[in-house]
Amino acid sequence: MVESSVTWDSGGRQIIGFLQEPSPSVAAKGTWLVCHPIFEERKAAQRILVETGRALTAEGWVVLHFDYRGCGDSEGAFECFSVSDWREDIRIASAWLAARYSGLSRGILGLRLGGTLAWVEAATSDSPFTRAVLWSPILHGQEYLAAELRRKLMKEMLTFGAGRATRDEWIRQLREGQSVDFDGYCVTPTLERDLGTLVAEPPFLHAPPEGLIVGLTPRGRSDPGLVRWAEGWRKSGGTCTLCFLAEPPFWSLIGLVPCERLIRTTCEWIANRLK
Amino acid sequence: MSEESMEERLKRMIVDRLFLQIAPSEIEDDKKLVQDYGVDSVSLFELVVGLEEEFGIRVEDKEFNLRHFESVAALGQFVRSKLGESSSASSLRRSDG
Repeated sequence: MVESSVTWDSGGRQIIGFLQEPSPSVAAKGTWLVCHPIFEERKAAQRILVETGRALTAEGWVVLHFDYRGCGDSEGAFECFSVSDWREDIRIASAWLAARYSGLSRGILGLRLGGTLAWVEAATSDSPFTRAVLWSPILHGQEYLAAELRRKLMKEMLTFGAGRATRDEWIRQLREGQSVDFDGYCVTPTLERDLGTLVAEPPFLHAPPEGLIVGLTPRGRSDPGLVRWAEGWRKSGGTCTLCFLAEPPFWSLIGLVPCERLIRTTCEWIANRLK
Repeated sequence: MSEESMEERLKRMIVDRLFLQIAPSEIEDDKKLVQDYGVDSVSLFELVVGLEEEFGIRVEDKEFNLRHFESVAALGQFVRSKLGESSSASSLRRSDG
């Protein structure tokens, strides 16, 4: 296995990527583009996503991780970018990978908001992705932001004994053109508006031919939103495997979080596609 | 079989939601969730979602006050008051109708 840091340009900004390739003696089976989540989830998810990449590389797949503009190590300030920029980053990263590994099948894997962005890019009529793997993807961008603001309230409660504002007040602030700080990230009115347009509710006009949705939930309980998503995917002509695993939300946790079943389930599903 | 008490339900939910590696019965009613069981803002979020799903209540933004979330005993009292609110609201609706 070979791991290397790579860079390219997206919208005039330098993107930092991390490429995981099988050893040169192994013929690559195909490529996977990994779409990371945003905010602090990106940092917490890093280890599991890299481990997943290693497991896939060991099976002969090429895996590319990258940071969106304004996120992680890529150039720019978070508040300067929004959903449409990150979607463009995915398309450019995919083209970069295709240029390096032409003629191979292309898959996309995304976590949380990265899962939703991966879906949006994979569910277009001219999508290059034949497979999509979505880990606990976000169904509604607006509800996601509301949940993140609820986390902000809880942090305030732990620090000050009670929340100092309500979500309605923060949303009003955003709609009046002011930004809101979330975990040190500046949420702008543009991001708030754009997240509102991210909705993964069927019916879907297009869907990737094959997909896997994994929901990590307490006790592996079913999530009705993901069930609807999987049914919509199937109705639009694709095949979709849906499963729920009782594993912790590693994207929110600091430290070593065991997620072997998630990685194994994903790798097995991918391996079975070639049988 | 005896019915599960509010506090027992809460402890089971806390262990489930926070993926704690202890038995629910090991959680003491009056011990601090934050200091003694390592509950942080992330796990609090999971806990609140769990309360809403398990008990069918809605925790309003203005109710995010540490005194409600200090311990299992405090949580129990909070949930009981929320359940009381919703049952009085539904009896009001019935008497209005």
